[in-house]
This record gives sequence, structure tokens and C-alpha cells, in this order.
Amino acid sequence: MKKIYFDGCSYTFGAELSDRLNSRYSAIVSKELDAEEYNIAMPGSSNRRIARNLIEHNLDQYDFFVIQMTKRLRTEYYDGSLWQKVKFNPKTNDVGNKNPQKEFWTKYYKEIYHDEYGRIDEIMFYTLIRTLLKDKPHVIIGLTHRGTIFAPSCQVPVDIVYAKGSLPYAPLGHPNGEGHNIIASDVLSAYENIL
Amino acid sequence: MKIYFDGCSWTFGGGLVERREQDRFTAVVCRELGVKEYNFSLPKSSNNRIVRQLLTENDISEYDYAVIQMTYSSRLEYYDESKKDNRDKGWIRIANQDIKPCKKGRKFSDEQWVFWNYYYKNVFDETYFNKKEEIQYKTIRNHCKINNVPLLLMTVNNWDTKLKFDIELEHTHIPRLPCNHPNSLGHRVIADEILSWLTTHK
Repeated sequence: MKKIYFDGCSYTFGAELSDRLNSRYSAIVSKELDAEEYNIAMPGSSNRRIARNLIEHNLDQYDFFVIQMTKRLRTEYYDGSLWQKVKFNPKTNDVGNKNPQKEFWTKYYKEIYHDEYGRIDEIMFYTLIRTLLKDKPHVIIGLTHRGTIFAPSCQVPVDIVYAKGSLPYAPLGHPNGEGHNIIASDVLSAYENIL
Repeated sequence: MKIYFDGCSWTFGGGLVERREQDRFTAVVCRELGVKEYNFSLPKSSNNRIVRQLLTENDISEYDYAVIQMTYSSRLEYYDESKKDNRDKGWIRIANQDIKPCKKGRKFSDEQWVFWNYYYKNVFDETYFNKKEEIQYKTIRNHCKINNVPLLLMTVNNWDTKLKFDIELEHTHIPRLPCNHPNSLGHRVIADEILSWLTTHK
């Protein structure tokens, strides 16, 4: 049986879906290809986490890879026992109360972080992902947002890109069931083109 | 023949002062081969800067070889638009030796010092820096490979790294200056190792 590797942020995790494990696009694609779904996406994921996951896996175990890159300003750090996700929320103007280093990271995003740094990071992670998977069937998905520092648009040449507003969305801004059907259809088309 | 060189002060020729442009190993290698020297290194460079230079500032496919010296994984850089006229186009290099308790010669304001001191003491650790180094190492290796450019990858971080490099520079066979950088003879030793590698990777 084929095995498909999926990683990304809340889009690929299936946030806001009532029947997440069955209706997210990774489940639809896997069912259509009669393959085992291996989805390690997490809400709040960074491209750093996605690249780290790839180098920590034996890639020979998978037949197809679907990597959904996320907002480039996100990052992660290691707290001594776990990798902690860091995402800045421009609405609350901080990194959220769950972050144990909230004061440090909020100051980082307000005073140190610049989109030029994020742009370089995005190029590095894209290059690493693309070159790690160069001999393997894979699709890289990107998202474009408002194009601001805290809602940046993906600027690397991904295979499939979804502009803000281009999919049907659930109330908090993630693709709804119909949106996941569209993503699944696009991924399946890309897979056919690869083969 | 074009050889791409990048690294930190070791590749820049730190400590050689007036002999820097003649005695650093990049100059020695290029002089022996009769080719122009392309050395993009700066003192206190981070692996972040080395990757940025490789992916966005230069086109590695225009070179026949790459000789890249990775540095201590805890170093980093950030972008300050107000400093875009500096010699690194707005990028500010940070090394953990900048976080000295002594105020003399400190490059930061007190507030910035508190921030970066907190960063090194409380937020980032060895696991993070090791993984960052691995991501950068694989990016450098893969990018050169996909562009068919033979790469000689060296490090000065050989006592801490878990990665395999072609040349480990922090060894006693390389004679040093009091500032711990290679002296002219040390650069000659490094140049000879590079020249030897080049002859086997024609």
C-alpha cells in the first residue's frame, strides 16, 4: 500500500472541520489513491518545523509528499523537552498567552523581526524542502495573505498557491469542507502530472 | 576557474591585519591557481549569513567550486532597515561573545543587551542550535549539489557539531595568532588542504 506524507499548518491539519480526520484534503487524497495517510501537520506550524520534520524522517518510507508551506514569520524553539511553536497574532499584537516566553517573543516581533528576515528564511526552507525531495514525487503548496509583514504572501515558486479568498472558508478563516475538496482535487491533478 | 569562498573571520583573514589580503588562505589558493579571488566572508558571520549569501546574493552556478567554512551555530543575524547602508546591506551580525557582561566595547544599547542576553540564556539551547546547523548544512550541501558545483565544506565548530565536514579547522596543527585565528602559516596549511582537495575533484 502506498504511503503519503503530508505536513503543513492548520490548513493541512484540517482546522475548523467538524469531521477533520475524514474530510481534510489529506484524507481525501489518500482515499482516492488508496494510500495510507501520514499527516503530521499542526496548527501554528512554521516552515522551520516542516523542514525539521523532513530531515528527521526516513523519506524512503513514503511514495508521495505534500508539503504546505506556511507564513514565514512563524518559528519554533526548543524548551528543553519539547519544540514550541511561535506565531505572532497581529490582532492581539502578541504571541499568545500559551507561549511561556510571551514577553520575549512579543518584543522580538515588535522590535527585531523584519519581513526581509522572513523572506530569506522562506527561501532557505523552500530550497531545503525542494532539494530533499528532488528525486521523489512531491507537491509544495503555498498561501498568499494580505502581503503585509504579519500576513505575508509566499514568494517562492511553489507548485500550487492559494490566494487569500480563493477558497471557501469556515468562520475562522480555514478552508471549509468544500475548500478541502478543491485542495484535494488540485493535489490529485498535480500528482497525475508528476506521474 | 571560479571558486566561491565564504565563512567567518577565519576565511576573512581575521587577525592578519596588513597581511590579510596576501596571506589569507583564499588568496593563497587563488594565487597558486592563477585565478581571481571571490571571498564573501566577514568577521562574526553566522551560518544564517553564509546561507543567505549562497541562496540570494550570489549565483553559485557561475562558479566551478565552492569552499564554504561554516561557523559557530549560535551566531545569527537580523535585518535593520535603518542600517541598510552598512557593509552588509542592513544585516546585523550577532555572536554570543557580543553578550559580554562588560560594557566596554559593547555594540548594543543596554536594552538590546538585556534582550540578547535573555535570548542566549533562556530561549535558545544546544538542541535548537544543533538543528539550525543541520538545516543550514543540508541546505548548503543540497544547493551546491543541485547546481553541480563541487563543495568543500569546512567548520570551526568541530568540537560541538554532530555533522560530518570535509575539513575541521579547530585543530592544533593549524598555527594560531594570540586572537586564536590562524596566523600566516596556519592559512598556508589550510590553503594546502584545499589545493589538495581541488586536485582530487577536477
